[in-house]
Amino acid sequence: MGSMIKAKDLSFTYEDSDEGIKDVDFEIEAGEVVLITGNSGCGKSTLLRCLNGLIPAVTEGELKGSLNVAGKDAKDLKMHELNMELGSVFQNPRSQFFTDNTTSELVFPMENYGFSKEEMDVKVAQLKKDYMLDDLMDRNIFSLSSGERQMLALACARTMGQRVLLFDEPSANLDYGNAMRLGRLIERMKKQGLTIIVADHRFYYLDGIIDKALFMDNGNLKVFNSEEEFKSSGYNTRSFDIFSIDTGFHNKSLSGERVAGLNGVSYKDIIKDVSLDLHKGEITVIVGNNGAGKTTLAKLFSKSIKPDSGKIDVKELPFFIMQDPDYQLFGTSVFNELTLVKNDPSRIEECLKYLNLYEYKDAHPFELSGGQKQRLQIGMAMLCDKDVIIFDEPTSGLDVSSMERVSGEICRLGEKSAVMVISHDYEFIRNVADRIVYLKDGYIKEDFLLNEENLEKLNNIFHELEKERKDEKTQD
Amino acid sequence: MKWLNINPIVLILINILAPSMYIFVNGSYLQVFLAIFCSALLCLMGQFKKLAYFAILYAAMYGIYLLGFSVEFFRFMSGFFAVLLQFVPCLMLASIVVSKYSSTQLLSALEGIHLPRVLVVATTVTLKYFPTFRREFKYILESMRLRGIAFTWKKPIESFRYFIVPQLFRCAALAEEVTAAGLVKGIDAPVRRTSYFELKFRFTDSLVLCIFAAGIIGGYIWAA
Amino acid sequence: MRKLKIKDIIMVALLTAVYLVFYLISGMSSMVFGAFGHAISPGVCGLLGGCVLYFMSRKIGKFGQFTILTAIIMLVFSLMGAGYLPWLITSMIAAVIADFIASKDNKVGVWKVAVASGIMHVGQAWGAIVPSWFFVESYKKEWIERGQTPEDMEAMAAMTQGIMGVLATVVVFALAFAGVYLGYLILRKHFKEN
Repeated sequence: MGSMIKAKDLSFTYEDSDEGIKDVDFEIEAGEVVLITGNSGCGKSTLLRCLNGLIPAVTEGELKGSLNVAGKDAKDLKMHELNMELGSVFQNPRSQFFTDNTTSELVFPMENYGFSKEEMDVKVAQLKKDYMLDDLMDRNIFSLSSGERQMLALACARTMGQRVLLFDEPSANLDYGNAMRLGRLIERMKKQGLTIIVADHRFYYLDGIIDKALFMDNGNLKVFNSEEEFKSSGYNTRSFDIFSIDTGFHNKSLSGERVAGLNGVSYKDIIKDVSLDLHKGEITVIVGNNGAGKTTLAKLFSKSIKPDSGKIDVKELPFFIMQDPDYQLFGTSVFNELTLVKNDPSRIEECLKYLNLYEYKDAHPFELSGGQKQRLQIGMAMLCDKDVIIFDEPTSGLDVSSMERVSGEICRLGEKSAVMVISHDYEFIRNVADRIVYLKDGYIKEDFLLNEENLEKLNNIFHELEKERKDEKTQD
Repeated sequence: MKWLNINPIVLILINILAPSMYIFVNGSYLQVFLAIFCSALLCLMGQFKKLAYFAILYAAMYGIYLLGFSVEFFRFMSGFFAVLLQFVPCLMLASIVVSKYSSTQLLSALEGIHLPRVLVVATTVTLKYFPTFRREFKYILESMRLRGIAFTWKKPIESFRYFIVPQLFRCAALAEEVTAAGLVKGIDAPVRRTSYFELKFRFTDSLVLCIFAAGIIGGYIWAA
Repeated sequence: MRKLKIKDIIMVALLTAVYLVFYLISGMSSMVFGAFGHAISPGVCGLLGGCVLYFMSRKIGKFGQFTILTAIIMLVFSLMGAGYLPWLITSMIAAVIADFIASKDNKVGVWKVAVASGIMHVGQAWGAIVPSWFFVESYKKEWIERGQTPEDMEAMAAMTQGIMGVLATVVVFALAFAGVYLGYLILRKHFKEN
């Protein structure tokens, strides 16, 4: 096994930000699984962008030092040459596909590289077999589940026969079951001799398969040459086993006023005879697999859809924060965004200071990072003075420290209002939940308070969710 | 009998050229020729349902057009329907193109005529995001409702602003991500792009084009 | 002259997708007005889509932006079998002129962008208007044979050729021009312009 990637004194400084990487040295052997990790803004995505050539091709700044990929100097390689060696899987499912059809997407890179129809047919057949894509061919990409999209993205990244795969925060948009499934897939590809590089701040799905960990801190790199070495380092590696975290329990006495409720509600085939009350001062987390009806439940509360039968009892429209903040920001500045909710400058100022967003008050909402946008929305929820606040996957795409901040802020919201959260993020759930509602196939399967004795129940739900994914895989 | 398969490029090309041919050819001749030509194509392709549907449409519009000569009430509309009638044969072909092929396949097929790579890549992006944005405009309306700034005709400009601004800024943010996704998929490779869905130009395709050309040239000579 | 990079072209492509949504809306809403509506539908589109063009001129502002936007639209319509030669020609010529007027940089005056948008949309409208001149000529003889008086015919030709043509051009230009100012009004604060 030879050296696949070698970086020497690699540095990059952005034109308009202090972030970047400084004098990074490392070597990756063929066939290794390498984790790049660290907190957000530490430079791990910068490093990844250096590897796949987006730096310097797209991002402007100053690049120094040397980088060798498959024995060639990356400086001499054009983007299209580099990407014959490296396959990239990006984070955002919305922007990583170029077409709306799975087959078109799979052949898109080969068309760009001028393959003949015959070559493409051979390759497509091979990928179909390797990544179990039989049921996915010639479908609208929009209709795929997040797990299916991940498989397609993976297959696309290997169309040119790439032996090195780069993943950018794959766990950000995958639920627990799908992330574990990705972990097994990576293990399989490792056995086939592929080199896998994963940049992520969650890595529970890589437990036991990491050969090398590159830990970034403020643009500086620390290399751990084995998983054990990484685990025994001072860095907080509890993320390897998410079930072992200890967040404590709220153990609130829940006797708040009932402010909203569903009574025997059914909607199409999605929600079946569901009764659920929401109380002030209580944070209710809805868990369940994709398609279990979680978002539909939220839409029923916010009167976006009408139930076929049953009664919905809400005094006023809840404040519903949907999954993608980008559709929900209308203001000309962060401050202006909040005045649209409540025109009370002193409260807005106080709120921005609490959220640590005060320095951005004149910035355009779209200039904020994902975590900041999410917190701006929480700010809106704090100002809205509504009894019921609903969040749909508030932590998707967030790193651990942003997630922890958001958790704290949602907990504070839960002191005054009834908060309902849809989430599959285990750590986040442990941080915020007072009560767990497990939705399965449109029914409420379990509904309990989260405390020490009920913790086992929550863990079992997660194991069950993962098992469902496994069954899905054996069906493939 | 096996139905005829015609390369969509042929249909697209006919549609681009046909409606403006009355610059050279007598209008009523062109109208009859196109109606017969396109109906014949639909028959050969086995599209009888579509043909029947368009025949009814054509007859109805022709009826109104004729009425315009005798009934005062229809006079104004007559000219308009005369224009619309011209487009019915092309509409027939267009409906086949749209129903039989996906837009990506069509684009890919069109690469046979050596379109610039930049345009192909850009149009691919547009074709993907057009339906996406249409869907997302609904999300934006919904989120406006939930924020208590629902679209209202009382404040059209403000409502329009809330409606359009998130999507425009999202485009700017998306551009970078989509570019990155494209570059790692080789959109900048300096070779001629190939096409998975490229359809061979067969003898029948050339024959159809020849008949079309002959009809137009024939009409030109006949009128002269 | 600043050259369009891949990223700029992708952004134009994305904005074209937004623009096409408005194209669809305006096409459907102008149908209510019959023949005249058909002739001014590019103007309605210009009114709604002006903000897209204004946004593009501020975020990109490079030569070729209007041309590429128009070329993509033409290609998309051609793919659906709705391409139409005179329309393709007038639209593309107008788009190139628009680029010469308002694509110097991303700080050109709002009025320049407005004029560019006006010309661009008039170009699209002419695709429908210009051929109709030939069209009526081609039918005149037949209609007279069918018993229309030559005077009636002249009136009708004047209607389609003259009044409709001139009126539609003016209306389309005005609507598209206003559309950019509407976009300016909406986006001004977002770009921190006063």
